[in-house]
Amino acid sequence: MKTEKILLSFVAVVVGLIVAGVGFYFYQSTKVLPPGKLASVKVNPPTPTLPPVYLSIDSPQDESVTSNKTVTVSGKTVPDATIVVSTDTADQVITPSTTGTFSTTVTIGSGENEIHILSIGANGLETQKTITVSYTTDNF
Amino acid sequence: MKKLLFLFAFSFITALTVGQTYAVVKSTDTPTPTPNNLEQQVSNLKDKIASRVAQLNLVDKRGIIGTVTDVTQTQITLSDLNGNIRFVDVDELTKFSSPTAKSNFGISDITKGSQVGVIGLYNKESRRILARFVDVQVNPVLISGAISDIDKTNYNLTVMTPDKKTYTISIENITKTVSYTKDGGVVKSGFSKNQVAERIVVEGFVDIKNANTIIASRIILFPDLTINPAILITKPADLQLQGTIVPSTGSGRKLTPLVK
Repeated sequence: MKTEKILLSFVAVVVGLIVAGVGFYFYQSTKVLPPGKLASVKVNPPTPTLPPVYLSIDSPQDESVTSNKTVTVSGKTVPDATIVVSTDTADQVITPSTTGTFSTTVTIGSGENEIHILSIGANGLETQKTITVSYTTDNF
Repeated sequence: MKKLLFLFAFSFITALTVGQTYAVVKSTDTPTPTPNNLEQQVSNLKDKIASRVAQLNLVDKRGIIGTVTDVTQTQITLSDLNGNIRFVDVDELTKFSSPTAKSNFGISDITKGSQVGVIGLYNKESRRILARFVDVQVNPVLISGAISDIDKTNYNLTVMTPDKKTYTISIENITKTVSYTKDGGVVKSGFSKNQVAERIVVEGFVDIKNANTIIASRIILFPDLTINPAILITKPADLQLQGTIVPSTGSGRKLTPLVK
């Protein structure tokens, strides 16, 4: 008798919950809000940003030390770029291949040298990288 | 049963004692060169070689350029081209030089704020460089931007860069100016060919008296290339075009500019 009472009360609670849930669902789905109470969300259109100019240098390695005065500068950038490779003594203007790869040779001086590589995209944006290459024939 | 246990214990103790005595006798033998000893020597040599190889792999030759932020008798602290702090150790083998140097130029002559180049051994673990050469130097700067003004009287150009900085470019007799187009390549140019809102790349040295003035060594003009969108300069031709447009009042009457 006692078990039956507990079972019945449990079933009653479950049925009550189901009925309440269905009722709440119907109430929510048929609810109509006046236009004044609706919040308006204004989405600002994103400002168009131009793609940056990609530039990576494969060689020479930054801070490298070499015993050759002729150094190959190679890397990759956007295919439509114009590249300026500048050392202490000379500048070179080159264009990359259709895949964006480029390579040129520059002459460096004794000691520490800065090589500036500037890539200018067709959209006017630019990226500049500076590599330090040192020349010495001394063994240490 | 007791007898059996006693016998077992006795033989066990005897065996242990004999074993220990043999071991002591064996260990007090005079050392003679055996194959085992040779192997030990080879092993030691291998360890020494491995240690040396590891030491060599730990260091490599490097050259850096930076601005001195601090200097002591044994160490120079630099801010490198990327703005990173680098520690340079100097010892009795380090050689110092400067373009304006006296014969006995040394670490005590290096001052804060000066630009130096260092070649030495970089330790990958401690990230310090043991300098072998320290050279005080003045390196040129590369400025890319667009011409915003031309001073034909003083032979100066004003160049604006994408980061909104403005530099005065001083054109000297030594300044070499070229122009680059995709079709024509690099051709010689001059000051008179410069135009406002034209893309320009300048290489030169910062004026000691004024950090915003660059004494130009080389100039490349790019008449074909678009200027950086971040640089807001109007071409003179566009300004003239704007001046000819007669503003409308919207009521049909046209306003005409006042002419004095």
